[in-house]
Amino acid sequence: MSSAVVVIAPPVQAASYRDSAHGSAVDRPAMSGYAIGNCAHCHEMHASLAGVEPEPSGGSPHPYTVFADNFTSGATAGSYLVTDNFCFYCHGEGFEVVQAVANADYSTTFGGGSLGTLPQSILAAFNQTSYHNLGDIQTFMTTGDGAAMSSWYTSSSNPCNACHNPHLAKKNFGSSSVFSAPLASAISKPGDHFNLWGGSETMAAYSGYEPPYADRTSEAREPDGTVVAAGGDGSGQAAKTPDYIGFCTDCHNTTNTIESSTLPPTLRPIDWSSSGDKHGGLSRDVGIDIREPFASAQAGTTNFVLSCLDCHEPHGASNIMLLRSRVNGEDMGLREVSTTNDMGALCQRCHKDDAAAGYGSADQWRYIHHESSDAPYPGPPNFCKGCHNTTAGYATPVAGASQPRIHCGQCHFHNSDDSWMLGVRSEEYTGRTTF
Amino acid sequence: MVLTRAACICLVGLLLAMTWPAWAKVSGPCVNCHTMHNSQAGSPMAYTVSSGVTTYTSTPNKGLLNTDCVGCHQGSNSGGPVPYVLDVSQPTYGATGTEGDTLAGGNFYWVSQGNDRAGHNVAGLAGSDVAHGNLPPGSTDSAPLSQLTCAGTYGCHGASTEIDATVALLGSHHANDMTAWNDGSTVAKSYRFLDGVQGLEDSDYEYRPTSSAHNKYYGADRTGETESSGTISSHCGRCHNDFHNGVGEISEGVFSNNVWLRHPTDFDMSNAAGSEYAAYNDYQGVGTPYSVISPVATADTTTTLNQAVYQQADDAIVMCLSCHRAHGSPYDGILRWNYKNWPCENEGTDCFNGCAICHTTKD
Repeated sequence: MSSAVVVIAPPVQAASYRDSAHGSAVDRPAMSGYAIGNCAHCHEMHASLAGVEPEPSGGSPHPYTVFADNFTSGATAGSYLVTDNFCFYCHGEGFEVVQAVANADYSTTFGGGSLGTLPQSILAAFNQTSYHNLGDIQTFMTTGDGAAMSSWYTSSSNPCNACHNPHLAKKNFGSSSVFSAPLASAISKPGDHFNLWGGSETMAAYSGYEPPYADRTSEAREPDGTVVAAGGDGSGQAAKTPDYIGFCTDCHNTTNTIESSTLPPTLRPIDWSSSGDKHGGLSRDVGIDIREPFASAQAGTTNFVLSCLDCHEPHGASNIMLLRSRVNGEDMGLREVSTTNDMGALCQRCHKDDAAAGYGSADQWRYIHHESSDAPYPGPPNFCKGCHNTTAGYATPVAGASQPRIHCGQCHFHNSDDSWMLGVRSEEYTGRTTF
Repeated sequence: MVLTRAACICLVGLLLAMTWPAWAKVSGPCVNCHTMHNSQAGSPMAYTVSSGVTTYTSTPNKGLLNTDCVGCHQGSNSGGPVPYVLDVSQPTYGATGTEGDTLAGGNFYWVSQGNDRAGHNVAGLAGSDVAHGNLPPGSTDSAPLSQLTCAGTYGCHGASTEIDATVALLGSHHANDMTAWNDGSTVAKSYRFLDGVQGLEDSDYEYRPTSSAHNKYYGADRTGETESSGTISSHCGRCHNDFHNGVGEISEGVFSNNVWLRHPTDFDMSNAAGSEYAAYNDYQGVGTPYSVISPVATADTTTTLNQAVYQQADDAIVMCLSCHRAHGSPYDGILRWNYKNWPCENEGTDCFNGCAICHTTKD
């Protein structure tokens, strides 16, 4: 009970519910007669309508007055059911779905992938090889470091809401008009839940951002497929891409500890600053052997800053680590990435393997590591087996290759350098940042 | 001094004829409401009114009354002293029921026309609800033996200990004081004769109310679901208990300190400091005006009208009547505005987002 006069600051109204995707589209069949977008399609103020509970009925009221529980805390990650998450009742597949909404993944929607070949719902996206673990998000937001920045979040909240505000999120795909400024953003930072992020905060803020291809052949660029030839001005495309760096690093930064039940014990910290990763703000050492559209653009910048979603899916992926199935205008041609030993299929989308360098075969990396003018281990060194060592588990034989292929994950991961060499061939150690 | 019988009658008649509009207790000649013998020149004086048609009957009414609740309170409002709750033709309600000729409780017209979702199905005004029978939504009790009545055990007004509606209200119309705070100690001292409910009554029953002319509803900022006796919302909970005071039905865990399961009532919005509710009634900052569209209750029991909210502790309390009319409205769920059609192209005509009075970021 209040005991004093309360002085409360009014909130800043950042957007209108009616402008949101839900405000203009939700339409639960059980709520026939209610206008599209009406609150009742998600909320039941009294857990009943005309004396009965509308479908889907659970027999009891649910937190936040929504028609089903927000999240089943014991849900099996990667095998989520529609009933595990309130959002999946629409953004899912199966007979329990009340209003099916098609949501292709990032690789398709913005990366130029073929519609229909990849997950068609958010639920399906989560039920792949890798995924944002909803239970881990719940833990992070309630008892982890996320709790300090998101007092609005409770143990009854929906983990999806960590990144999305359902009353503000806008449809950000479907027609070219949605890319017009300001952007139609679907995301809100966990630490700023009551505002959209990405409407005016875009990748244009990063001078080193080069919008990747959505289609290499036509030189269509992400996110909307506008053609910008290599060497052309990509700033327009950057201005259409939400600032995913600012968004993702709200959680994935060097301050927060993110516990993971899938990748224990904790996720690697992400440092996208000028003293962090080269894929982020850190300048390159000398040069890079890189493919278009970066090759033509590298003369104009000392560093490329990538968007997190240039490589990662936000919800889930058929590859490990939520790696996209299509990057820089090409599908992951070689294979799906199933271990950190075998990341070449991803790297070769932008970096030159031996074939792209005109030196050897595809999916082999001798040129970059030993032959390029900027090679860290030029020569190559005399003692190959120190690193190309299958017995020690450092490498895997590859048909036709002169040496077993060293596992990429020995050196290349977020916040890494080649300190692995210190325990293998210390005289070859360069100290270079290797991601 | 010895007064003649005729003089006594004249004096009493004079006193009764005096009007006290500020008090608004019944006034005027006794015969306006009572008949001593149900007979005048050999004709019965007791009557009923149905669909505007008066029918006299030889069966006398209790309390020597000319007619019953419906007979008195049937008509069209124009701001006069008698509150009409049933109009025989469609009232002017408008988008929010604040600018036409309906009162705070709305009007039974729509439910009387067969729309069960648009009003309380009070006996004599409408048949039993086709879907619910006599069992109110949200009730955990067995169905009552009788259809809802205006007053008494099965009604909303008067003493709940009395089965008969008239008996339940006996004497209360003579003892009402609309200038005083109703403390709920008697039926007459209860807000609108809702036994035990506190509040301050607007003199014209909210005929075209404004922020400076409206009822003052009593509410409580609860810390437990079973609290808040005397509030207007707790009165609704007498029948719709799971919507107000069913344990574990309104809030997860500790009431007011956790997540709502159903829309809260008897909860002060000041508790949600820094949230969208701070902008109640679309006014940014201190001095937020009281909304007659989606009103709030207060714990203040003085006769000072709450023309603004967030002026003192517990003066922004959500109540059932923040969203609903007690008698009836044109809209499903007896809502104060056309929620079902929202959002729509022509807001204010085809729909209205009264929710946004409180949920200010959900417009």
